[in-house]
Amino acid sequence: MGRRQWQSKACGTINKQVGYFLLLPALVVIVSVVFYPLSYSLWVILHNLNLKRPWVGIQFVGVKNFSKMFSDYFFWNSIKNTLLFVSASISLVFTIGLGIALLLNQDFKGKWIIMVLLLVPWALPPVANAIMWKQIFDSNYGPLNGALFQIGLISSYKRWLADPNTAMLAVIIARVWQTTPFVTLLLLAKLQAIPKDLYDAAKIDGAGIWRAFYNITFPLLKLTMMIALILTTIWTFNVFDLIYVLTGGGPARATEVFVYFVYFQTFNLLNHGYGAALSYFLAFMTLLFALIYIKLFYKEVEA
Amino acid sequence: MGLVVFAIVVPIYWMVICSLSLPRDIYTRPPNWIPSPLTLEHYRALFAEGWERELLRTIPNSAVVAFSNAALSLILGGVAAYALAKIRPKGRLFLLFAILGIQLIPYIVFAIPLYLILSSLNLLDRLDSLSLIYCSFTLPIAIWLMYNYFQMIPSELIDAALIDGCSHLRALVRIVVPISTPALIATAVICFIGAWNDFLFALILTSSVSARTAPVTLAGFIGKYRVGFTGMSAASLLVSIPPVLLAVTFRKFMVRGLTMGAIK
Repeated sequence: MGRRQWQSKACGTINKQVGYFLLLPALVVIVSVVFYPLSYSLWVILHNLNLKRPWVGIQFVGVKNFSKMFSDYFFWNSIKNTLLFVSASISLVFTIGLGIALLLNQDFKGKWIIMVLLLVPWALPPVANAIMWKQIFDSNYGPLNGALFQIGLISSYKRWLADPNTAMLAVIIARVWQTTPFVTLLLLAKLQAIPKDLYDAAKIDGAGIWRAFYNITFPLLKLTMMIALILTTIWTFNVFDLIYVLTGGGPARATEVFVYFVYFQTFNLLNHGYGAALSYFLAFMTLLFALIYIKLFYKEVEA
Repeated sequence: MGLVVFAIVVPIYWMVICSLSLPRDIYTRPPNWIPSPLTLEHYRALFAEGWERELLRTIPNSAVVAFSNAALSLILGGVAAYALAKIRPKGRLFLLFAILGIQLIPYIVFAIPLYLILSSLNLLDRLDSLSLIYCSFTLPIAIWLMYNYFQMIPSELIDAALIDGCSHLRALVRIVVPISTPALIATAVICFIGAWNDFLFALILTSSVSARTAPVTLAGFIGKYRVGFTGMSAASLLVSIPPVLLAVTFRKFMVRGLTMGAIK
Protein backbone atom coordinates (compact mmCIF):
# COMPACT_ATOMS: atom_id res chain seq x y z
CA MET A 1 0.00 0.00 0.00
CA GLY A 2 2.70 2.42 1.07
CA ARG A 3 4.89 1.38 -1.80
CA ARG A 4 2.19 1.86 -4.37
CA GLN A 5 1.49 5.35 -3.15
CA TRP A 6 5.16 6.22 -3.36
CA GLN A 7 5.36 4.85 -6.87
CA SER A 8 2.41 6.79 -8.23
CA LYS A 9 3.68 9.95 -6.59
CA ALA A 10 7.11 9.57 -8.19
CA CYS A 11 5.51 8.90 -11.54
CA GLY A 12 3.43 12.03 -11.17
CA THR A 13 6.49 14.18 -10.49
CA ILE A 14 8.34 12.85 -13.54
CA ASN A 15 5.23 13.46 -15.58
CA LYS A 16 5.08 17.09 -14.56
CA GLN A 17 8.75 17.60 -15.32
CA VAL A 18 8.19 16.25 -18.83
CA GLY A 19 5.46 18.89 -19.05
CA TYR A 20 7.95 21.71 -18.47
CA PHE A 21 10.33 20.14 -20.94
CA LEU A 22 7.65 20.10 -23.65
CA LEU A 23 6.78 23.71 -22.93
CA LEU A 24 10.37 24.83 -23.28
CA PRO A 25 10.68 25.31 -27.08
CA ALA A 26 7.61 27.53 -27.32
CA LEU A 27 8.64 29.53 -24.24
CA VAL A 28 12.20 30.05 -25.57
CA VAL A 29 10.83 31.55 -28.80
CA ILE A 30 8.33 33.77 -26.99
CA VAL A 31 10.82 34.96 -24.37
CA SER A 32 13.65 35.68 -26.82
CA VAL A 33 11.48 37.70 -29.19
CA VAL A 34 9.33 39.31 -26.51
CA PHE A 35 11.28 39.90 -23.31
CA TYR A 36 14.70 40.72 -24.68
CA PRO A 37 13.38 43.51 -26.95
CA LEU A 38 11.20 44.83 -24.13
CA SER A 39 14.17 45.23 -21.82
CA TYR A 40 16.36 46.57 -24.60
CA SER A 41 13.66 49.13 -25.30
CA LEU A 42 13.88 50.38 -21.71
CA TRP A 43 17.57 51.13 -22.24
CA VAL A 44 16.75 52.96 -25.47
CA ILE A 45 14.15 55.11 -23.73
CA LEU A 46 16.64 56.34 -21.16
CA HIS A 47 19.08 57.43 -23.85
CA ASN A 48 19.19 59.99 -26.55
CA LEU A 49 19.29 57.80 -29.63
CA ASN A 50 18.86 59.90 -32.70
CA LEU A 51 20.26 58.19 -35.77
CA LYS A 52 19.88 61.38 -37.78
CA ARG A 53 22.54 63.11 -35.72
CA PRO A 54 25.00 60.33 -34.91
CA TRP A 55 27.78 62.80 -34.07
CA VAL A 56 25.93 63.77 -30.91
CA GLY A 57 26.57 60.26 -29.64
CA ILE A 58 24.46 58.28 -27.23
CA GLN A 59 23.81 60.15 -24.02
CA PHE A 60 21.90 59.19 -20.93
CA VAL A 61 18.85 61.46 -20.76
CA GLY A 62 16.77 59.82 -18.03
CA VAL A 63 13.04 60.43 -18.30
CA LYS A 64 13.41 63.28 -20.78
CA ASN A 65 11.87 61.19 -23.54
CA PHE A 66 8.78 60.79 -21.41
CA SER A 67 8.45 64.39 -20.27
CA LYS A 68 8.94 65.56 -23.85
CA MET A 69 5.74 63.92 -25.08
CA PHE A 70 3.42 65.94 -22.85
CA SER A 71 4.54 69.21 -24.35
CA ASP A 72 4.41 67.82 -27.88
CA TYR A 73 1.41 69.23 -29.73
CA PHE A 74 1.31 66.30 -32.14
CA PHE A 75 1.31 63.82 -29.28
CA TRP A 76 -1.98 65.27 -28.04
CA ASN A 77 -3.23 65.54 -31.60
CA SER A 78 -2.65 61.82 -32.17
CA ILE A 79 -4.30 60.95 -28.84
CA LYS A 80 -7.37 62.94 -29.84
CA ASN A 81 -7.50 61.25 -33.26
CA THR A 82 -7.04 57.81 -31.74
CA LEU A 83 -9.86 58.28 -29.23
CA LEU A 84 -12.21 59.46 -31.97
CA PHE A 85 -11.18 56.65 -34.31
CA VAL A 86 -11.42 53.92 -31.65
CA SER A 87 -14.70 55.02 -30.07
CA ALA A 88 -16.47 55.57 -33.38
CA SER A 89 -15.32 52.36 -35.03
CA ILE A 90 -15.88 50.19 -31.97
CA SER A 91 -19.41 51.42 -31.38
CA LEU A 92 -20.27 50.95 -35.05
CA VAL A 93 -18.67 47.51 -35.23
CA PHE A 94 -20.59 46.30 -32.19
CA THR A 95 -23.97 47.74 -33.09
CA ILE A 96 -23.81 46.38 -36.64
CA GLY A 97 -22.12 43.14 -35.56
CA LEU A 98 -24.75 42.35 -32.93
CA GLY A 99 -27.54 43.18 -35.36
CA ILE A 100 -26.19 40.85 -38.04
CA ALA A 101 -25.48 38.11 -35.48
CA LEU A 102 -29.08 38.25 -34.21
CA LEU A 103 -30.37 38.02 -37.78
CA LEU A 104 -28.07 35.11 -38.58
CA ASN A 105 -29.19 33.28 -35.45
CA GLN A 106 -32.44 32.49 -37.26
CA ASP A 107 -32.68 29.77 -39.84
CA PHE A 108 -33.21 30.78 -43.44
CA LYS A 109 -32.26 29.68 -46.92
CA GLY A 110 -28.86 30.67 -48.24
CA LYS A 111 -27.48 31.47 -44.80
CA TRP A 112 -24.22 29.73 -45.63
CA ILE A 113 -23.55 32.27 -48.38
CA ILE A 114 -23.50 35.06 -45.81
CA MET A 115 -21.32 32.98 -43.50
CA VAL A 116 -18.79 32.56 -46.31
CA LEU A 117 -18.98 36.22 -47.26
CA LEU A 118 -18.29 37.24 -43.66
CA LEU A 119 -14.95 35.45 -43.78
CA VAL A 120 -13.75 37.45 -46.77
CA PRO A 121 -13.19 40.88 -45.12
CA TRP A 122 -11.59 39.15 -42.14
CA ALA A 123 -9.08 37.27 -44.32
CA LEU A 124 -8.36 40.17 -46.69
CA PRO A 125 -4.87 41.64 -46.16
CA PRO A 126 -5.33 45.04 -44.45
CA VAL A 127 -3.14 46.65 -47.12
CA ALA A 128 -5.45 45.36 -49.86
CA ASN A 129 -8.46 46.57 -47.86
CA ALA A 130 -6.89 50.02 -47.55
CA ILE A 131 -6.11 50.17 -51.27
CA MET A 132 -9.69 49.19 -52.06
CA TRP A 133 -11.09 52.05 -49.96
CA LYS A 134 -8.50 54.48 -51.26
CA GLN A 135 -9.94 53.90 -54.71
CA ILE A 136 -13.55 54.01 -53.53
CA PHE A 137 -13.00 57.43 -51.94
CA ASP A 138 -10.87 58.75 -54.79
CA SER A 139 -11.67 62.34 -55.71
CA ASN A 140 -11.27 62.05 -59.48
CA TYR A 141 -12.68 58.70 -60.57
CA GLY A 142 -13.79 57.03 -57.34
CA PRO A 143 -16.92 54.88 -57.47
CA LEU A 144 -18.40 56.54 -54.36
CA ASN A 145 -18.35 59.89 -56.08
CA GLY A 146 -19.66 58.25 -59.23
CA ALA A 147 -22.57 56.58 -57.47
CA LEU A 148 -23.56 59.60 -55.36
CA PHE A 149 -23.34 61.84 -58.42
CA GLN A 150 -25.47 59.49 -60.47
CA ILE A 151 -28.16 59.28 -57.77
CA GLY A 152 -28.02 63.06 -57.52
CA LEU A 153 -26.92 63.30 -53.88
CA ILE A 154 -23.89 65.40 -54.79
CA SER A 155 -23.62 67.90 -57.60
CA SER A 156 -19.87 67.67 -57.99
CA TYR A 157 -17.14 65.17 -57.12
CA LYS A 158 -15.98 65.51 -53.48
CA ARG A 159 -12.44 65.19 -52.20
CA TRP A 160 -13.26 62.83 -49.32
CA LEU A 161 -9.69 62.10 -48.29
CA ALA A 162 -8.51 65.71 -48.52
CA ASP A 163 -11.04 67.08 -46.04
CA PRO A 164 -10.04 66.45 -42.38
CA ASN A 165 -13.59 65.51 -41.33
CA THR A 166 -14.48 63.17 -44.15
CA ALA A 167 -10.98 61.64 -44.16
CA MET A 168 -11.47 60.40 -40.60
CA LEU A 169 -14.90 59.11 -41.56
CA ALA A 170 -13.38 57.25 -44.51
CA VAL A 171 -10.80 55.59 -42.26
CA ILE A 172 -13.53 54.56 -39.82
CA ILE A 173 -15.72 53.10 -42.57
CA ALA A 174 -12.82 51.08 -43.98
CA ARG A 175 -12.02 49.76 -40.52
CA VAL A 176 -15.64 48.92 -39.68
CA TRP A 177 -16.05 47.08 -42.98
CA GLN A 178 -13.05 44.90 -42.25
CA THR A 179 -13.66 44.07 -38.57
CA THR A 180 -17.44 43.77 -38.20
CA PRO A 181 -17.51 40.22 -39.65
CA PHE A 182 -15.11 38.93 -37.00
CA VAL A 183 -17.23 40.34 -34.17
CA THR A 184 -20.37 39.02 -35.85
CA LEU A 185 -18.94 35.51 -36.00
CA LEU A 186 -17.84 35.62 -32.35
CA LEU A 187 -21.24 36.78 -31.13
CA LEU A 188 -23.08 34.37 -33.41
CA ALA A 189 -21.12 31.41 -32.03
CA LYS A 190 -22.19 32.37 -28.52
CA LEU A 191 -25.80 33.00 -29.56
CA GLN A 192 -26.03 29.56 -31.12
CA ALA A 193 -24.92 28.00 -27.83
CA ILE A 194 -27.99 29.38 -26.04
CA PRO A 195 -30.58 26.55 -25.72
CA LYS A 196 -33.69 27.16 -27.82
CA ASP A 197 -35.95 25.86 -25.03
CA LEU A 198 -35.24 29.01 -23.06
CA TYR A 199 -36.94 31.07 -25.76
CA ASP A 200 -39.80 28.59 -26.06
CA ALA A 201 -40.37 28.80 -22.32
CA ALA A 202 -40.30 32.59 -22.47
CA LYS A 203 -42.82 32.55 -25.30
CA ILE A 204 -45.18 30.36 -23.28
CA ASP A 205 -44.83 32.79 -20.39
CA GLY A 206 -45.92 35.51 -22.78
CA ALA A 207 -42.62 37.36 -23.16
CA GLY A 208 -42.18 39.37 -26.35
CA ILE A 209 -39.05 39.51 -28.53
CA TRP A 210 -37.58 42.44 -26.61
CA ARG A 211 -38.17 40.92 -23.22
CA ALA A 212 -36.68 37.62 -24.38
CA PHE A 213 -33.62 39.49 -25.63
CA TYR A 214 -33.26 41.51 -22.46
CA ASN A 215 -33.82 38.63 -20.03
CA ILE A 216 -32.25 35.67 -21.85
CA THR A 217 -29.93 36.69 -24.68
CA PHE A 218 -28.30 39.71 -23.13
CA PRO A 219 -27.27 38.18 -19.76
CA LEU A 220 -25.81 35.09 -21.48
CA LEU A 221 -24.05 37.19 -24.10
CA LYS A 222 -22.68 39.82 -21.75
CA LEU A 223 -19.38 38.19 -20.87
CA THR A 224 -18.56 37.28 -24.48
CA MET A 225 -19.51 40.81 -25.52
CA MET A 226 -17.18 42.33 -22.95
CA ILE A 227 -14.28 40.10 -23.95
CA ALA A 228 -14.79 40.80 -27.64
CA LEU A 229 -15.20 44.50 -26.91
CA ILE A 230 -11.91 44.81 -25.06
CA LEU A 231 -10.04 42.65 -27.54
CA THR A 232 -11.19 44.67 -30.53
CA THR A 233 -10.56 47.93 -28.67
CA ILE A 234 -6.95 46.93 -28.08
CA TRP A 235 -6.58 45.91 -31.72
CA THR A 236 -8.10 49.15 -32.91
CA PHE A 237 -5.63 51.15 -30.82
CA ASN A 238 -2.93 49.36 -32.84
CA VAL A 239 -4.21 50.07 -36.34
CA PHE A 240 -1.30 51.10 -38.52
CA ASP A 241 -1.47 49.63 -42.03
CA LEU A 242 -4.83 51.19 -42.82
CA ILE A 243 -3.63 54.70 -41.96
CA TYR A 244 -0.29 54.20 -43.71
CA VAL A 245 -1.95 53.30 -47.01
CA LEU A 246 -5.23 55.21 -46.94
CA THR A 247 -4.24 58.65 -45.69
CA GLY A 248 -0.64 58.62 -44.49
CA GLY A 249 -1.95 60.38 -41.39
CA GLY A 250 -3.20 63.34 -43.43
CA PRO A 251 -4.71 65.68 -44.40
CA ALA A 252 -2.92 68.04 -42.02
CA ARG A 253 -2.34 65.11 -39.62
CA ALA A 254 -6.09 64.79 -39.04
CA THR A 255 -6.00 60.99 -39.23
CA GLU A 256 -2.64 60.51 -37.55
CA VAL A 257 -3.51 57.91 -34.91
CA PHE A 258 -1.10 57.06 -32.13
CA VAL A 259 0.71 54.07 -33.64
CA TYR A 260 1.24 55.96 -36.88
CA PHE A 261 2.64 58.90 -34.88
CA VAL A 262 5.05 56.54 -33.10
CA TYR A 263 6.10 54.99 -36.40
CA PHE A 264 6.66 58.40 -37.94
CA GLN A 265 8.77 59.64 -35.02
CA THR A 266 10.83 56.46 -34.98
CA PHE A 267 11.35 55.49 -38.59
CA ASN A 268 10.94 58.75 -40.47
CA LEU A 269 12.40 61.26 -38.02
CA LEU A 270 14.69 58.55 -36.59
CA ASN A 271 14.03 59.55 -32.98
CA HIS A 272 14.34 56.04 -31.63
CA GLY A 273 14.49 57.04 -27.96
CA TYR A 274 11.36 59.18 -28.22
CA GLY A 275 9.59 56.55 -30.31
CA ALA A 276 10.34 53.83 -27.77
CA ALA A 277 9.04 56.04 -24.95
CA LEU A 278 5.85 56.69 -26.92
CA SER A 279 5.39 52.99 -27.58
CA TYR A 280 5.70 52.31 -23.87
CA PHE A 281 3.05 54.93 -23.22
CA LEU A 282 0.73 53.01 -25.54
CA ALA A 283 1.59 49.78 -23.75
CA PHE A 284 0.62 51.32 -20.40
CA MET A 285 -2.66 52.53 -21.82
CA THR A 286 -3.30 49.06 -23.22
CA LEU A 287 -2.40 47.46 -19.89
CA LEU A 288 -5.56 48.79 -18.28
CA PHE A 289 -7.76 47.18 -20.92
CA ALA A 290 -5.62 44.05 -20.91
CA LEU A 291 -6.10 43.53 -17.18
CA ILE A 292 -9.87 43.74 -17.50
CA TYR A 293 -9.70 41.38 -20.47
CA ILE A 294 -7.64 38.80 -18.59
CA LYS A 295 -9.94 39.01 -15.59
CA LEU A 296 -13.03 38.43 -17.73
CA PHE A 297 -11.34 35.68 -19.68
CA TYR A 298 -10.43 33.99 -16.42
CA LYS A 299 -14.10 34.09 -15.42
CA GLU A 300 -15.04 32.50 -18.73
CA VAL A 301 -12.41 29.76 -18.37
CA GLU A 302 -13.49 29.04 -14.80
CA ALA A 303 -17.14 28.87 -15.77
CA MET B 1 -29.86 40.43 -44.97
CA GLY B 2 -29.82 41.77 -48.48
CA LEU B 3 -28.23 44.89 -47.09
CA VAL B 4 -25.47 42.87 -45.42
CA VAL B 5 -24.67 41.02 -48.64
CA PHE B 6 -24.74 44.32 -50.51
CA ALA B 7 -22.36 46.02 -48.07
CA ILE B 8 -19.85 43.18 -48.20
CA VAL B 9 -20.05 42.51 -51.91
CA VAL B 10 -20.08 45.99 -53.45
CA PRO B 11 -16.52 47.05 -52.49
CA ILE B 12 -15.17 43.67 -53.60
CA TYR B 13 -17.19 43.83 -56.82
CA TRP B 14 -15.59 47.17 -57.56
CA MET B 15 -12.09 45.75 -57.09
CA VAL B 16 -12.84 42.76 -59.30
CA ILE B 17 -14.40 44.68 -62.20
CA CYS B 18 -11.72 47.33 -61.87
CA SER B 19 -9.02 44.70 -62.32
CA LEU B 20 -10.80 43.37 -65.42
CA SER B 21 -11.77 46.67 -67.05
CA LEU B 22 -10.19 48.69 -69.76
CA PRO B 23 -8.96 52.00 -68.31
CA ARG B 24 -11.51 53.89 -70.44
CA ASP B 25 -14.37 52.22 -68.50
CA ILE B 26 -12.90 53.23 -65.15
CA TYR B 27 -11.46 56.67 -65.90
CA THR B 28 -14.78 58.22 -66.76
CA ARG B 29 -17.44 60.04 -64.75
CA PRO B 30 -19.35 58.08 -63.56
CA PRO B 31 -17.47 54.81 -64.12
CA ASN B 32 -19.04 52.02 -66.17
CA TRP B 33 -20.49 49.72 -63.52
CA ILE B 34 -20.81 46.83 -65.94
CA PRO B 35 -17.80 47.23 -68.22
CA SER B 36 -17.40 45.55 -71.54
CA PRO B 37 -15.26 44.16 -72.93
CA LEU B 38 -13.35 42.60 -70.05
CA THR B 39 -9.61 42.17 -70.19
CA LEU B 40 -6.95 40.15 -68.40
CA GLU B 41 -4.30 42.66 -69.48
CA HIS B 42 -3.65 43.99 -65.94
CA TYR B 43 -2.99 40.51 -64.60
CA ARG B 44 -0.77 39.73 -67.55
CA ALA B 45 1.24 42.88 -66.82
CA LEU B 46 1.97 41.59 -63.31
CA PHE B 47 3.47 38.42 -64.78
CA ALA B 48 5.27 40.06 -67.69
CA GLU B 49 8.86 41.30 -67.65
CA GLY B 50 8.73 44.78 -66.21
CA TRP B 51 8.92 46.61 -62.94
CA GLU B 52 5.48 45.28 -61.92
CA ARG B 53 7.19 41.89 -61.81
CA GLU B 54 8.50 42.93 -58.40
CA LEU B 55 5.23 41.85 -56.82
CA LEU B 56 5.50 38.37 -58.26
CA ARG B 57 9.07 38.13 -57.01
CA THR B 58 8.07 39.01 -53.44
CA ILE B 59 5.06 36.66 -53.27
CA PRO B 60 7.34 33.63 -52.68
CA ASN B 61 8.78 35.48 -49.66
CA SER B 62 5.28 35.83 -48.26
CA ALA B 63 4.66 32.16 -48.91
CA VAL B 64 7.88 31.16 -47.13
CA VAL B 65 7.16 33.21 -43.98
CA ALA B 66 3.49 32.19 -43.94
CA PHE B 67 4.14 28.46 -44.35
CA SER B 68 7.07 28.35 -41.94
CA ASN B 69 5.09 30.36 -39.42
CA ALA B 70 2.15 27.99 -39.67
CA ALA B 71 4.40 24.93 -39.34
CA LEU B 72 6.45 26.31 -36.44
CA SER B 73 3.40 27.54 -34.52
CA LEU B 74 1.66 24.23 -35.07
CA ILE B 75 4.59 22.12 -33.85
CA LEU B 76 5.88 24.26 -30.97
CA GLY B 77 2.39 25.39 -29.98
CA GLY B 78 0.91 21.90 -30.27
CA VAL B 79 3.55 20.38 -28.01
CA ALA B 80 3.13 23.21 -25.49
CA ALA B 81 -0.67 23.00 -25.60
CA TYR B 82 -0.50 19.25 -25.04
CA ALA B 83 1.73 19.73 -22.01
CA LEU B 84 -0.58 22.40 -20.59
CA ALA B 85 -3.82 20.54 -21.23
CA LYS B 86 -2.86 16.94 -20.55
CA ILE B 87 0.21 16.88 -18.29
CA ARG B 88 -1.01 19.93 -16.40
CA PRO B 89 2.24 20.98 -14.68
CA LYS B 90 2.22 23.40 -11.76
CA GLY B 91 1.91 27.04 -12.70
CA ARG B 92 -0.08 26.11 -15.79
CA LEU B 93 -2.71 28.80 -15.33
CA PHE B 94 -0.07 31.43 -14.68
CA LEU B 95 1.72 30.49 -17.91
CA LEU B 96 -1.51 30.47 -19.90
CA PHE B 97 -2.47 33.93 -18.76
CA ALA B 98 1.06 35.29 -19.16
CA ILE B 99 0.90 34.07 -22.76
CA LEU B 100 -2.50 35.69 -23.16
CA GLY B 101 -1.14 38.97 -21.80
CA ILE B 102 1.81 39.00 -24.20
CA GLN B 103 -0.60 38.73 -27.09
CA LEU B 104 -2.12 42.05 -26.04
CA ILE B 105 1.07 44.14 -26.00
CA PRO B 106 1.06 46.60 -28.92
CA TYR B 107 3.27 45.40 -31.78
CA ILE B 108 4.95 48.77 -32.15
CA VAL B 109 6.48 48.24 -28.69
CA PHE B 110 8.44 45.30 -30.12
CA ALA B 111 9.02 46.72 -33.56
CA ILE B 112 11.37 49.50 -32.42
CA PRO B 113 13.81 47.45 -30.30
CA LEU B 114 13.66 44.51 -32.74
CA TYR B 115 14.73 46.83 -35.53
CA LEU B 116 17.67 48.14 -33.47
CA ILE B 117 18.71 44.67 -32.25
CA LEU B 118 18.48 43.01 -35.66
CA SER B 119 20.33 45.85 -37.35
CA SER B 120 23.20 45.62 -34.84
CA LEU B 121 23.38 41.86 -35.43
CA ASN B 122 23.16 42.29 -39.21
CA LEU B 123 20.01 40.18 -39.27
CA LEU B 124 17.72 42.74 -40.90
CA ASP B 125 16.11 41.99 -44.24
CA ARG B 126 16.10 38.22 -43.75
CA LEU B 127 13.24 35.77 -44.08
CA ASP B 128 14.34 33.61 -41.17
CA SER B 129 14.33 36.51 -38.68
CA LEU B 130 10.92 37.57 -39.92
CA SER B 131 9.51 34.03 -39.62
CA LEU B 132 10.78 33.65 -36.08
CA ILE B 133 9.28 36.99 -35.06
CA TYR B 134 5.90 36.09 -36.55
CA CYS B 135 6.06 32.75 -34.79
CA SER B 136 6.44 34.38 -31.39
CA PHE B 137 3.39 36.53 -32.08
CA THR B 138 1.14 33.74 -33.35
CA LEU B 139 2.25 31.16 -30.77
CA PRO B 140 0.00 32.58 -28.01
CA ILE B 141 -3.12 32.23 -30.20
CA ALA B 142 -1.96 28.80 -31.41
CA ILE B 143 -1.35 27.57 -27.86
CA TRP B 144 -4.69 28.83 -26.56
CA LEU B 145 -6.68 27.47 -29.46
CA MET B 146 -5.15 24.00 -29.28
CA TYR B 147 -5.20 24.02 -25.46
CA ASN B 148 -8.95 24.60 -25.49
CA TYR B 149 -9.43 21.79 -27.96
CA PHE B 150 -7.07 19.29 -26.30
CA GLN B 151 -8.87 19.80 -23.02
CA MET B 152 -11.99 18.25 -24.50
CA ILE B 153 -10.12 15.01 -25.31
CA PRO B 154 -10.78 12.49 -22.52
CA SER B 155 -7.62 11.96 -20.46
CA GLU B 156 -8.39 8.23 -20.24
CA LEU B 157 -7.39 7.85 -23.89
CA ILE B 158 -3.93 9.24 -23.19
CA ASP B 159 -3.52 7.48 -19.86
CA ALA B 160 -4.26 4.15 -21.55
CA ALA B 161 -1.55 4.81 -24.11
CA LEU B 162 0.93 5.89 -21.43
CA ILE B 163 0.30 2.69 -19.44
CA ASP B 164 0.99 0.71 -22.61
CA GLY B 165 4.42 2.29 -22.63
CA CYS B 166 3.84 5.16 -25.03
CA SER B 167 5.89 8.30 -24.46
CA HIS B 168 4.09 11.63 -24.26
CA LEU B 169 5.26 12.66 -27.70
CA ARG B 170 4.04 9.37 -29.15
CA ALA B 171 0.68 9.80 -27.44
CA LEU B 172 0.46 13.29 -28.89
CA VAL B 173 1.23 12.14 -32.43
CA ARG B 174 -0.75 8.89 -32.37
CA ILE B 175 -3.82 9.83 -30.34
CA VAL B 176 -4.24 13.57 -29.96
CA VAL B 177 -3.28 14.74 -33.46
CA PRO B 178 -5.63 12.42 -35.42
CA ILE B 179 -8.70 13.50 -33.46
CA SER B 180 -7.78 17.19 -33.38
CA THR B 181 -7.68 17.97 -37.10
CA PRO B 182 -10.30 20.74 -36.86
CA ALA B 183 -8.23 22.63 -34.28
CA LEU B 184 -4.96 21.98 -36.10
CA ILE B 185 -6.34 23.21 -39.41
CA ALA B 186 -7.81 26.33 -37.80
CA THR B 187 -4.50 27.06 -36.07
CA ALA B 188 -2.50 26.56 -39.26
CA VAL B 189 -4.81 28.81 -41.28
CA ILE B 190 -4.89 31.57 -38.66
CA CYS B 191 -1.07 31.53 -38.36
CA PHE B 192 -0.64 31.45 -42.13
CA ILE B 193 -2.96 34.43 -42.60
CA GLY B 194 -1.37 36.29 -39.69
CA ALA B 195 2.06 36.15 -41.29
CA TRP B 196 0.83 36.69 -44.85
CA ASN B 197 -1.23 39.76 -43.96
CA ASP B 198 1.23 41.45 -41.60
CA PHE B 199 2.47 44.82 -42.73
CA LEU B 200 4.19 46.58 -39.81
CA PHE B 201 7.04 44.14 -39.18
CA ALA B 202 7.62 43.40 -42.85
CA LEU B 203 7.77 47.13 -43.58
CA ILE B 204 10.25 47.88 -40.82
CA LEU B 205 12.42 44.77 -40.90
CA THR B 206 12.76 44.05 -44.62
CA SER B 207 13.72 46.13 -47.63
CA SER B 208 15.19 44.19 -50.57
CA VAL B 209 13.27 42.05 -53.04
CA SER B 210 14.88 38.96 -51.51
CA ALA B 211 13.09 39.35 -48.17
CA ARG B 212 10.29 41.88 -48.61
CA THR B 213 6.78 40.43 -48.42
CA ALA B 214 3.99 41.01 -50.92
CA PRO B 215 1.90 43.52 -48.88
CA VAL B 216 4.92 45.84 -48.57
CA THR B 217 5.55 45.70 -52.33
CA LEU B 218 1.85 46.31 -52.88
CA ALA B 219 1.91 49.39 -50.65
CA GLY B 220 4.98 50.59 -52.55
CA PHE B 221 2.99 50.56 -55.81
CA ILE B 222 0.74 53.34 -54.52
CA GLY B 223 1.54 56.61 -56.14
CA LYS B 224 3.40 55.08 -59.05
CA TYR B 225 1.39 56.79 -61.72
CA ARG B 226 1.68 53.96 -64.21
CA VAL B 227 -0.12 51.44 -62.00
CA GLY B 228 -3.47 53.23 -61.82
CA PHE B 229 -6.75 51.88 -60.48
CA THR B 230 -6.87 48.86 -62.75
CA GLY B 231 -3.33 47.66 -62.06
CA MET B 232 -3.64 48.32 -58.32
CA SER B 233 -6.85 46.29 -58.16
CA ALA B 234 -5.32 43.36 -60.02
CA ALA B 235 -2.25 43.44 -57.77
CA SER B 236 -4.34 43.71 -54.57
CA LEU B 237 -6.55 40.82 -55.60
CA LEU B 238 -3.54 38.68 -56.44
CA VAL B 239 -2.14 39.23 -52.94
CA SER B 240 -5.58 38.65 -51.37
CA ILE B 241 -6.30 35.32 -53.06
CA PRO B 242 -4.24 32.99 -50.81
CA PRO B 243 -5.61 34.12 -47.42
CA VAL B 244 -9.20 34.49 -48.63
CA LEU B 245 -9.13 31.14 -50.41
CA LEU B 246 -7.78 29.41 -47.30
CA ALA B 247 -10.37 30.99 -45.01
CA VAL B 248 -13.26 30.13 -47.32
CA THR B 249 -12.06 26.58 -48.04
CA PHE B 250 -11.76 25.76 -44.36
CA ARG B 251 -14.73 27.85 -43.27
CA LYS B 252 -16.19 25.04 -41.14
CA PHE B 253 -13.10 24.99 -38.95
CA MET B 254 -12.49 28.73 -39.05
CA VAL B 255 -15.62 29.91 -37.28
CA ARG B 256 -15.06 27.47 -34.45
CA GLY B 257 -11.33 28.11 -34.36
CA LEU B 258 -11.74 31.87 -34.22
CA THR B 259 -14.02 31.62 -31.23
CA MET B 260 -11.67 29.20 -29.51
CA GLY B 261 -8.61 31.37 -29.99
CA ALA B 262 -10.20 34.56 -28.77
CA ILE B 263 -12.93 33.31 -26.50
CA LYS B 264 -13.42 29.83 -25.15
